[in-house]
Amino acid sequence: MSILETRGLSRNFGGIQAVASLDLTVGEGEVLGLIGPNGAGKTTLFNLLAGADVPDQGKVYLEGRDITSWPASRHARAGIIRTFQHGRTFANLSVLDNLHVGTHTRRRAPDLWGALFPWGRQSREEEALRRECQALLVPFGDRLTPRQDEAAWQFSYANRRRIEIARALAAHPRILLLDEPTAGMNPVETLEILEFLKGLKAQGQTMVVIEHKLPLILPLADRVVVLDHGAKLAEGHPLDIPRNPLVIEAYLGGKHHE
Amino acid sequence: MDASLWGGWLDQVVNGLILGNIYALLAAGLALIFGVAHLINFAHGSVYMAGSYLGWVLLTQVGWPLWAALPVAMAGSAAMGLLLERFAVRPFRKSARVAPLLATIGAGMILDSLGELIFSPNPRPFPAVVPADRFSLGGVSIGWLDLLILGATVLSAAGLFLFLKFSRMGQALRATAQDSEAAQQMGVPVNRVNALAFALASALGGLAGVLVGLYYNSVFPSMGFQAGLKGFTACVLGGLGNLPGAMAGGLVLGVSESLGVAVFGSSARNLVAFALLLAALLWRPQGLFAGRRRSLPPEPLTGTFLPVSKAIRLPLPTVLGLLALAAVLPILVPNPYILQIGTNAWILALFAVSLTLVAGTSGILSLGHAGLMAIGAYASGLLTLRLGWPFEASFLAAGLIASALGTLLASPALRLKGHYLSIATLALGEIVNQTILNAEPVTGGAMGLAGIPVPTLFGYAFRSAADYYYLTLGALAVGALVITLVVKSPLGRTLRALREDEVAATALGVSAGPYKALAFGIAAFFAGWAGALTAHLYSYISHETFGTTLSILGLTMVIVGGLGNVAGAILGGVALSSLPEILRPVAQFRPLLYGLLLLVALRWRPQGALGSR
Repeated sequence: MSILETRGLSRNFGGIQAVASLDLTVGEGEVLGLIGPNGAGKTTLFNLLAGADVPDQGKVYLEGRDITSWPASRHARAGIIRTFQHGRTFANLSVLDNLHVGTHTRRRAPDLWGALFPWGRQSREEEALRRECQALLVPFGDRLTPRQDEAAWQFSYANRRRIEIARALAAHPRILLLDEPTAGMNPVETLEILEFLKGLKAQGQTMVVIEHKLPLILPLADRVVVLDHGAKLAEGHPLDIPRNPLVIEAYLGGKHHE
Repeated sequence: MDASLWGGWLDQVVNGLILGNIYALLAAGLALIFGVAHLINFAHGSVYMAGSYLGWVLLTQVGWPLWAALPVAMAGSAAMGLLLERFAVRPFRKSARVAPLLATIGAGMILDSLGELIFSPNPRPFPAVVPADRFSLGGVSIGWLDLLILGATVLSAAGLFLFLKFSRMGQALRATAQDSEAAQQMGVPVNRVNALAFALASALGGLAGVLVGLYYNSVFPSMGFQAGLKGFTACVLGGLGNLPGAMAGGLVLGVSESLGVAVFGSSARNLVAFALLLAALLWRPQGLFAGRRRSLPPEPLTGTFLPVSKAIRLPLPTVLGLLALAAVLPILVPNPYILQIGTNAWILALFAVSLTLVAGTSGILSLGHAGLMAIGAYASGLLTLRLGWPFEASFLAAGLIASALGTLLASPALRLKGHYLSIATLALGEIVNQTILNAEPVTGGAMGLAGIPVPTLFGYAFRSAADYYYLTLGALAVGALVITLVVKSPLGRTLRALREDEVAATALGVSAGPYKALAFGIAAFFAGWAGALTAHLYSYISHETFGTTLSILGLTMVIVGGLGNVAGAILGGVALSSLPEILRPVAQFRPLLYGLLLLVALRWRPQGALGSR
């Protein structure tokens, strides 16, 4: 049974077909790898899946419900949580506050009432979520925890990516959309993230991961979809993808000769 | 149809087109600057005013003929544009987004008050140097001045087009407008191009200023503000940064205004213009001439609305100590004059505290916050005067009405971002005041509302200076407590997240619209209180009491104290309301000092005295 599904999804930008009549399914607990050359339409697809953009044609279904025209915030409340290609932390908020915003969809205490009477239910919820947010920082070791009260702008690019992943997890996503989670990281850091993501997968986290680095995506993904010019170029088991001549052609250009 | 009636309508349309030409000149300058510097130049109206005065001096004091005065006035305005770019825009190119916008506001204040200092606030008659005889052209009455305005606009537009299209500097300008960093990499001197855009735009503004002086036969220092708003309107109608669109927008605006005046009377002119601006912002923010659908904005790498800083936090004992000190002041210093200064300071501090939640915490840079104060003031004033409500009820109602009505008016505008949002709030503030002016049967119109009763609480009438002092201090304490609780709460954190990155916050499930409206509603409640206190303490209010100057003053207080910082807002409010008392002997320099203070604060301490948060 698929959780997320697209049918005939298309998006044009002034004549450029960024996503072209795409059919895609993501199963429960599955990790789908999304690869493709620059400009293949991967991020546009993410924008459509997360409701940041509306397709020209086609539909997006979440557990059979048509969510195509929902606003982005409603996608998030339904459990589709994404990260961004270039990292978008809240610069003037502390690391912990960034994660707290991640818990937004899970808060039950009323906003204004809770602000004016900050005790009882409000403070219990805040305290419980704070402990949980701190726990989410633990896998990143000394990189984030000792500096959890510092503003996000003070962190390196790679650390801001880590903050963003932790913030997305704070939402308890049904489906986690990761847009190049290791961009700007060196090979050692990339391996760390790989191990971290494998751990998430072992817990049954459903994920769609955009990634250029095949050494990351191949051991992680259950299935890989290759996009080119907005359309599905190939789809299959990670081990078959690097041998697929169409994929090699798209990446290296020109005909490939064995 | 009756031929004379038809002719009357046609005359109105032609009048509108002529006035529209002047708006087009203003809009062309604004569009040029927006295109190159991605900045709405809030000082543009002031440059236009200065150009107009320059023309007036040359024509009347020096006695030059028009053909000589016009180009010199344009050159003088261009020089002013260069100064503006050099001192109010270039230093802020790498600052937080909010800084250059506010800096042009500060520069505009400085120019306006210089105009008042040099030429007095009274209008000066412009000499009739253009023959006044009119003739009929196809059933429409046309004068020489109309032809002059038409000719000047057409010539300027053609010259601008040829310059941009064919000259090297024009190419450089267009390249910078496309992508200023890429242009810089290709060796385009971006600073010089920016300066050039400001010079050209200001020359057109100066030209418009002289033409308007001739058209209305008068020139006055505050003429720039309305003109600037008209220019924005034309720009928005044409699509921000679209030069031909802006000029066409000017014509559309001119004709709409003329027809509006023909239907509703002359006092409706500005109301029509600002309603048009708001409608355009809400329904066609991409302009009348652009395609329907826009692609998504590119992802920013980093970048933040606020200057980054560490806020200074006042410990609770300090806060209580300061409050106690404020509470015993009337006993220590029972001087009515000092207490009156204190009363004034507490009202303005309450206003600033309210604004800091909107402009600081939520990042909604409101330029019309005084409009909320006006709503509260008129609500409480009218309820007590006309319906005989007791002060307790009308005061509470003032907050609720300001909150409800303000949020209702603003909520469509809260969808907008950045510059659009600032223009929309500016227009909202003006619309509130214009509505008060036009709704004469209810509000007393231009006469204002007099004889508002003194405040009473449970039978106790507030009459003495100390009474007023404690009443306003109490209101401020309640307001500051509530806003502090909100700022510190998870709600405040959500609002700050929206301010920092609305796209990311939305992707985490935050509904931007309702949260912004909530912040606005809470803030409006206390702005309404500040207005009601003003009304009852001074017993007289008019549509001029709560003008845009007050909105800008409030913003200056908030910035000086530190955006989003409640203690900072109080500090800013107290400092800026006591400053004029200390400077009483030089009272006429006040606006000039406010403008300078804003510029200096933005340049050297953008995070404010106590830090933004």
